[in-house]
Amino acid sequence: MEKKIKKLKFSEKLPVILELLQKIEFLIEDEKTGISEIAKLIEKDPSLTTKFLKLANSPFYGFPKRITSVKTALNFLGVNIVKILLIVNNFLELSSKDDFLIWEHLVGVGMVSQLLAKKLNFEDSSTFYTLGLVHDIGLIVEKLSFPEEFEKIREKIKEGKSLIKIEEEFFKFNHSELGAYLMESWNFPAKLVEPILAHHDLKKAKRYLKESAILYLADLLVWAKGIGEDLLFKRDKVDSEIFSLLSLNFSEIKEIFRKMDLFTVEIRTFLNSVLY
Amino acid sequence: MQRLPLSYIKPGMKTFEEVVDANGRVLCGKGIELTEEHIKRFYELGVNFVTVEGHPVNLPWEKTLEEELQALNKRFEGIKDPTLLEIKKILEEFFKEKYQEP
Ligand SMILES: [Fe+2]
Ligand SMILES: [Fe+2]
Repeated sequence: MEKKIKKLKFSEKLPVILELLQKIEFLIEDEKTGISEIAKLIEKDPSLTTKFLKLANSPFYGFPKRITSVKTALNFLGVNIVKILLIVNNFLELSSKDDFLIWEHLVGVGMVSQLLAKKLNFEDSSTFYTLGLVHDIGLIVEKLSFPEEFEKIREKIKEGKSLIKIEEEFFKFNHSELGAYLMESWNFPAKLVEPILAHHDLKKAKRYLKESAILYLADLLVWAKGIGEDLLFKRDKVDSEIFSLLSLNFSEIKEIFRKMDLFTVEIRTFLNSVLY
Repeated sequence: MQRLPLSYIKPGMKTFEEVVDANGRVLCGKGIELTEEHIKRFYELGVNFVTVEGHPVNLPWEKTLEEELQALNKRFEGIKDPTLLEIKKILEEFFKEKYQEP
């Protein structure tokens, strides 16, 4: 799989962020430099800083106070989440209002993952929101790097085939594999890679089955509710164990739909402030 | 209940839950009828959203019950997976309840 992905030529728009990520990596390795050095590095670019802070103040992180500096964000969210937000910001910049539904899906999945994580008493529910934002990164990379194929994929979906099957026909891999591969190449820990790999196939989860199941279910519920209503996200089957795995009953699922309904307005308002 | 951007909030609407500012301070209790005064204060203190009782505003993208059920059927077109169909049933129930609310 890795070889297949390596052979591809990705759009040259992608590496924009890589330099910054590498510098951050470098600073993390040098143990003497702490969070303030990383903050300084990001703050060198005022426009990046503004956009980054907008993301760090996403409605669903739910911090009691507004995050007003990169350093506070690093303290609250940790380096890994900050790195993901920089990547997300990069992809947001490469997107336009035409991609609204894709981003509505991503933010929706983040919101619902976080709800589920809280319900299941995970301490780091903000990690789950962030995972949601980045979980379909493979799909965005496909769209940016292979626009022609991507249009053909959209056509095929209309014929009733699932996205995963079509991707595998076209590229010999699917967007969850591509996403996980990229996350790994950016040095993210397995806890953040595995759920992305398994978000369409729970059998791929090993150490982080519950985390993966949360993302898997959130992805499904967001599509089912009609948030980010795009055929790309249609599901045709679901792991029948999913509810017992997360010990959720149907009335709890209904409660989650109720919350999703209430917060759709916040997702939309937020997206209108970050997508141009 | 409905969650609304502050720009939609009008005097006379009743809060469904506490209104808190960006620093977590409670600005207004639950079940309170909002006044001009409240709303002015919310603006000053950076409140962006307020959850109110009932469903006072139709937001531009909101569907009617009929449209909602139609879209749901279209999304689930061709799906035979029993667990997915259970989820669809939950959603049908949810939508019907939502539009019954006063
Ligand atoms: Fe996906
Ligand atoms: Fe997804």
